[in-house]
Amino acid sequence: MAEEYTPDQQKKIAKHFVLVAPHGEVHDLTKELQTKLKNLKNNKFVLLTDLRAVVKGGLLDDKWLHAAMTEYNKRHFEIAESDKTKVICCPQGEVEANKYLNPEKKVICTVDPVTQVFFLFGIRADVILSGEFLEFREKAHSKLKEYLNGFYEDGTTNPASMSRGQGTVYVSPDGQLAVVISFKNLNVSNYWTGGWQSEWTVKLGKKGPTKLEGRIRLKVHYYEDGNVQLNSTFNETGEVEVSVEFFFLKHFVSLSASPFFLGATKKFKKNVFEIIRENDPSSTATALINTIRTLENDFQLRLEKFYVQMHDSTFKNMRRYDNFKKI
Amino acid sequence: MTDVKHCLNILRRTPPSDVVDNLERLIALRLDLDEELCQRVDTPLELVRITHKGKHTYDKDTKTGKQFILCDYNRDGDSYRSPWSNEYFPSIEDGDECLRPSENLRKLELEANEVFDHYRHAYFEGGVSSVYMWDLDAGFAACFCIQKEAQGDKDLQGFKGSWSSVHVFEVKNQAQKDTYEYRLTSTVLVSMPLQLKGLGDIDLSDSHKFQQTQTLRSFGEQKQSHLEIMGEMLEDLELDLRNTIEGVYFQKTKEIVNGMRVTDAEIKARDKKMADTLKSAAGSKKP
Repeated sequence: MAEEYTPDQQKKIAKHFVLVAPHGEVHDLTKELQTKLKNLKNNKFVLLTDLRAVVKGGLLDDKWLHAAMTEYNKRHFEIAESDKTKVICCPQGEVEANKYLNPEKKVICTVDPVTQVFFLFGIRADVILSGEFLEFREKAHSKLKEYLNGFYEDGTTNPASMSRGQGTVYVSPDGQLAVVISFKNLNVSNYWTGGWQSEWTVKLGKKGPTKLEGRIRLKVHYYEDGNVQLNSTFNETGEVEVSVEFFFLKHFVSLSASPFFLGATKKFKKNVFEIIRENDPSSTATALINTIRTLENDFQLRLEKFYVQMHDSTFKNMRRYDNFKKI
Repeated sequence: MTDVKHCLNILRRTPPSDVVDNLERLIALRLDLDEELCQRVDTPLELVRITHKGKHTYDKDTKTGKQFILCDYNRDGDSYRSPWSNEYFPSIEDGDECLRPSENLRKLELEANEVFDHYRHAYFEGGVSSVYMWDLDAGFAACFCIQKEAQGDKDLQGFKGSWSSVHVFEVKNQAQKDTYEYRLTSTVLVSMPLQLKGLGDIDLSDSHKFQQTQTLRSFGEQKQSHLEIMGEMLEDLELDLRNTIEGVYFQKTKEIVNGMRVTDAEIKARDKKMADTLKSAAGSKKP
């Protein structure tokens, strides 16, 4: 008989199952119903019901659930909503635990990680979102919106798609810029779910070719009668021609808001820079989004090609579709 | 719902390629369900590789020099029976007491192993196959296993694909003379973890169980015909499974990705325009 596992070890294992869960399969209810049934929804967690039945002794209490879902949301780029707006739960927008920035509406949203519903928390968002980089952010954001409208499914054209999602642009006071895109294609009643999460970062400041770093993650689950999964992570780098130069003039040390960008990992810096810029930032914004579009498109085209090649290479290496002696 | 069912539900949401690790995690949560879970969960097949009391390691049937597959159907305690020599490895004291097929069935088992080995070679060009049979009250049962590890060549670095298929037949005598009922249950586990230039880490995996509807056949020459009938059923179903996994299940994952993002904005714009036109046409009232 193997050794008994401690309660902490058991909780850790249970959390693992939450974190690797496919998109949309921790919750059973649609977002709309969740909001209406706020108090009932704990009973409706599919995975949680199974986990709580398996792990005895009330170990998986609300505190455990809160912690597990906080991490789940960030890892899956969950989109939390209120009646008025939405916010992407991602490290790039995290001000502090379960507080995420919506840079477009200039609000910090406090998210209940379990229900994925939030209330607005306006304090200091205006202070964080100040300076010359902000104008650049706005330009990049509107370019990103155009790009998303063109290339991402929003459920209006493809009848087989249940895709919903959004993207946004974050910029820190020192010119670190991040583009985050999160789309989910969920059809639980037909036993399939999928998620596309991409994130790109570039450091603004100097004129000329600048390195763009990114990551695209895919997680797809098709589970009618069985269990089929696609899990992929792709790291990519590219180059963006930055045509705008920023000069940092002086520091103010009077602000009390946290820097939102990478706020979870970096220590609170009370510095904000006054910046003077040359040229128009819109050409850089266009170059940035165009580069992202090209890199993402190339990735998806290669993925398509992989599925075609599979017939003659990978899958055929495992089992032929024809008896080769017959040929 | 039983706790085992809850465990299986949890497992169904984890990647099939990680099933061994996740099964261990579940057992860690519920030591009391160890045996039942191990029986119910399909894991990739393993080849003989037995360390006994830290001393002897077998990686093949030492009597015939052939490899064989480990499964529940050839196990007795910590020992496994080789389909080639009919011996248990590591050997068991009082070996005569161990479970072995009856004399007639053993003849069929040997023949089935020879035939299935050719089948494996023709479709898999590698891997290992084993067939195990055991007597039932009114007939017999047979388990056909194939395990293959595929390696990638230059273009497919890091590719360590794995295929496991298990086909279990239950063959039952019918009231009518020389008539049998064949019931086939097939399980296929495929995982394809790859590192591809321009695609990064990618893992496609699948775990499926299929049941062939019961078939009733009659024949005269008993032993030959059992193999012929089972062979045909197995070949048809496995080919069907293989093509369904590649052509339907794996393609479905691609469709779901393409349902989130398109590679050609013009197509989306055209479709949207059409949808809008239809919508406005439907909305406008005709006189």
